[in-house]
Amino acid sequence: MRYNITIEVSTRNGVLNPESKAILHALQGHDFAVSALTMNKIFYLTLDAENAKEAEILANKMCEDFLANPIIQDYTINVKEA
Amino acid sequence: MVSILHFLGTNCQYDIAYIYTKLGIPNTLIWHTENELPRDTRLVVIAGGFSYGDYLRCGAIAAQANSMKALKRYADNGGKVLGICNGFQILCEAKLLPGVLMRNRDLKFISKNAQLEVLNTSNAMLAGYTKNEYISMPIAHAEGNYQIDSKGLESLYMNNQVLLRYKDDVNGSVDKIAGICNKDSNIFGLMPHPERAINHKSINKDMSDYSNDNAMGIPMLKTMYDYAL
Repeated sequence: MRYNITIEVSTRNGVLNPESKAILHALQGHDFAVSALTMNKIFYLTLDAENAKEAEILANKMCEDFLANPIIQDYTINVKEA
Repeated sequence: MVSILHFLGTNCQYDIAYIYTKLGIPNTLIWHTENELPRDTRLVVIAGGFSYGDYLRCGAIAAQANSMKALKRYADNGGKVLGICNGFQILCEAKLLPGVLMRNRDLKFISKNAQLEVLNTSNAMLAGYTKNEYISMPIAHAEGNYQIDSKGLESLYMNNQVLLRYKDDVNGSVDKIAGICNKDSNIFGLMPHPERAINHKSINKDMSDYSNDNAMGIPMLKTMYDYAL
């Protein structure tokens, strides 16, 4: 079965994301009334797996090993049949 | 033999090879596709630069390379490893050193000479210095803001793993940490560049400066090779 997987990697609450901060300041500098901003990363993957559970296990392993740094980041995984 | 690991985007490998050659220590460059390190490797240096354009997270892609798998086996057997700048980031991403290097607090790339405090000299990296002495070394990084949770920090101090601290708070690092090692004191990482602090007349014949101020990187690179664990 083919699955489309969305993985969103975010900076953990309480950890400063300087990129988000810089973008927020830039928006405020352009007189946009923004009070908070978070920038996350989204990965869109397509892969073949026996079932949705297996696809999720694979995606989870990719996050732990590579796509996210568990010291400062959290991630959410969404699996859908392609 | 010093094995110098380099990846696509590494740019400090030739400076490291230059100084080791000047010191009369044999060295070789190891490309990321290599599955084995030379048998006579006595030290591995991971050179600084911007491996894989710092894509994903700095050091994250290089940490997955074949040469890093060989390095892990080498380090597991007690082999000495020194990661400089991007090399330090790669070692953290490879989980060979604890913690993480984040974007500098003020979001700027910092390139200047930094004063560093030597905290512990009973190790291969700092055996050539005096405890609590200040040494000068260039830093050049955008992501040198070392962070670790409070438990991890406590454990670093308990095991004497905090080795170098900036005199001034340059980049937001917790406790101004500039360099650390692993529990077994065979894997070392630092953001400053010892290979850029080698300008002594004995090394560079074009220099007129006989002082040691611009040569504080040499003792580190020497003892990393000579020091027996």
